[in-house]
Amino acid sequence: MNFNRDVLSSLILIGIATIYLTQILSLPPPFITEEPGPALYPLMIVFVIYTSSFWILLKGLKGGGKALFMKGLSRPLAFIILSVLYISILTSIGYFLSTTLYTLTIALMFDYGKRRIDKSLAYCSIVAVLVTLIGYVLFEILFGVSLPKWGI
Amino acid sequence: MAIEIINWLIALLQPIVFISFLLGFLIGLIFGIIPGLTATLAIALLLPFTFGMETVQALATCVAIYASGIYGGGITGTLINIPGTPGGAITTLEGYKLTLRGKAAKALTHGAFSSMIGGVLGTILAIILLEPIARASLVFQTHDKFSLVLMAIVVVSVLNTESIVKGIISTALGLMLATIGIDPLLPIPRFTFGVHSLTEGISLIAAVVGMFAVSEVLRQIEVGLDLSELAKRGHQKISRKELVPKREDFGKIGLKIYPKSALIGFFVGVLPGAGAAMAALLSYAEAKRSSKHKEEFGEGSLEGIVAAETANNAMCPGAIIPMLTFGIPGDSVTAVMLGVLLIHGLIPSPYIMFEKGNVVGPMLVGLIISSIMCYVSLLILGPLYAKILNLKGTVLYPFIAMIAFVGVYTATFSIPQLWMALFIGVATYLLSKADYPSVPFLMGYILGPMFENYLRTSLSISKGNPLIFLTSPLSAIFLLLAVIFAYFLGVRLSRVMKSIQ
Repeated sequence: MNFNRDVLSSLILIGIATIYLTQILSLPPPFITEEPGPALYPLMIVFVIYTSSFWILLKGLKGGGKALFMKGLSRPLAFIILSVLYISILTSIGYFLSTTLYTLTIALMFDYGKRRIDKSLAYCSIVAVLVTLIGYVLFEILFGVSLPKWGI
Repeated sequence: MAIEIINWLIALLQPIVFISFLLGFLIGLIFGIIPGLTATLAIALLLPFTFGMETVQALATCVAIYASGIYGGGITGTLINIPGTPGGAITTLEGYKLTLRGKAAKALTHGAFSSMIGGVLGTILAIILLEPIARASLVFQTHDKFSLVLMAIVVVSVLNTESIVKGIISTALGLMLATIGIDPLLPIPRFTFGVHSLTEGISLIAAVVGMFAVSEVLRQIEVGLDLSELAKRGHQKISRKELVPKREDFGKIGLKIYPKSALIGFFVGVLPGAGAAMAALLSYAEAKRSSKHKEEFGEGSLEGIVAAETANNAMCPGAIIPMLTFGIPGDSVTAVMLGVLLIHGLIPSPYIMFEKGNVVGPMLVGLIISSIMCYVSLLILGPLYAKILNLKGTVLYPFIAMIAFVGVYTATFSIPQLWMALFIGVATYLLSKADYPSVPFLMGYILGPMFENYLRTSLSISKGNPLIFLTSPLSAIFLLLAVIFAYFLGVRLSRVMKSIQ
């Protein structure tokens, strides 16, 4: 049996479609007398996803999909974790501190291995402060949008 | 008509509008030139700012980004053999061969000149066609509109992908995403999983930023492409004197290729989801078929560059037409632009040109001016193009990530929408790892509400009888066209693409 990206993706899609289907079951029936109800259209979508995903699954099991193992996923994973943290703290610690920390860590990820660590830290800190300031000027000063302050 | 056009031009030349327009052009050019960044991403990042802009200013800025972003894609391809955007892939094929022979200036000149011609001819065609399209669409009933949107969904699903089934799944996922929130016809929340904030649905800004900005940062972080190394590769001294097209080149290229490629580009633009890459490819294939110098194609053909660049800039006005008249975007850029229209309370309709001509008109004039600016910008900035690649990822991507998340927050003031943007970004990135295309995902999300609305309204009228879609002649024609497009675009066209590759 080939367990490749096609197989994995189709299994995840079938899972998503099943969760979606459980929600459809809580809606009024597809046809209320002769009127189409809110469940009709989602049922059609689920049908398309199920049939197409099974097709991909069968094709994947026969072979042909890309190998499951992916190199270099640690950096994207780090970015996702950083973004989760950023969204979590944005409104509690405010725009300036959260954005400076967030952009600093992303800059460090892009700068990694390009210069000595102390120089990289100094360079990325300047980038982070500048990016944060530009964001402040663009959103708050030019477009008059209120950014989250500390403790708000 | 002449007076109207002058009024549109005056509206565009208002200082604030024109400054935004020029800035938009520069941003689009930079995003077009840098591999990985696209006009779609530029407009997606601009979306939150458009809340604070006048409608004319917002739309003018968008079209400037659009035209220059599409044009910029071919520049990097010519200089360093990596297209800045998918639309620049065909130009790369011929342009880089000329660069290797020391003729980068010639390739860039004809690329810019034909982009200008394509954009201008395409926009003139759009202005001419808007009124007849509006009159023709007066007879459309709800079930005809359903079949029209279904045709668009079929086209979107079979294009943009190597696997039609994966295209269908991506579109269906977009349609699924659009069902989250309050039912469009009844006051019932759907697919909210008990989360109260999901009843408002997923905002367009969160979806677009997730699909194009977050997923792109993830891709770039994974690849870690060093643009400054690429810039060194593209270092070829170009003087401004070389950037004027020569008469003998036109003699060799022929003048017929311009209107022909513009027509191909324009009508490819009208097809939902087709986009610049498809326009350039089909125009290039036709130019090669009818050329007297077939042997030069693939070896640095100016005809090839002209065909591709004329078509991909003529595609822009073509893609705008169905977006304005039916709310069916021609490509991913116009899909995001549709969001700008909606933010400003403009509902796409066949009468939009008559009812909101003071807003739509300056946008079309802006498309003509930005097309002309493609060539003018080459004369001014041409020698500096390769230097744009010196923009470091260390600066660029923290900036994009900041604008993306803070933009979603300021546009919605909702933390759940930020979570959705991140979730959609990660999902798009992971789907792309298994070759599921992102453009059908976006188009499904955009077309979904309209599709469901027309479906249910039609079935309500027919008392649940689906034959209503076959008994109406117009509806039946659209359904037949959907089948024809599925065959020609999904089966035949993939053969043409493989033969060119």
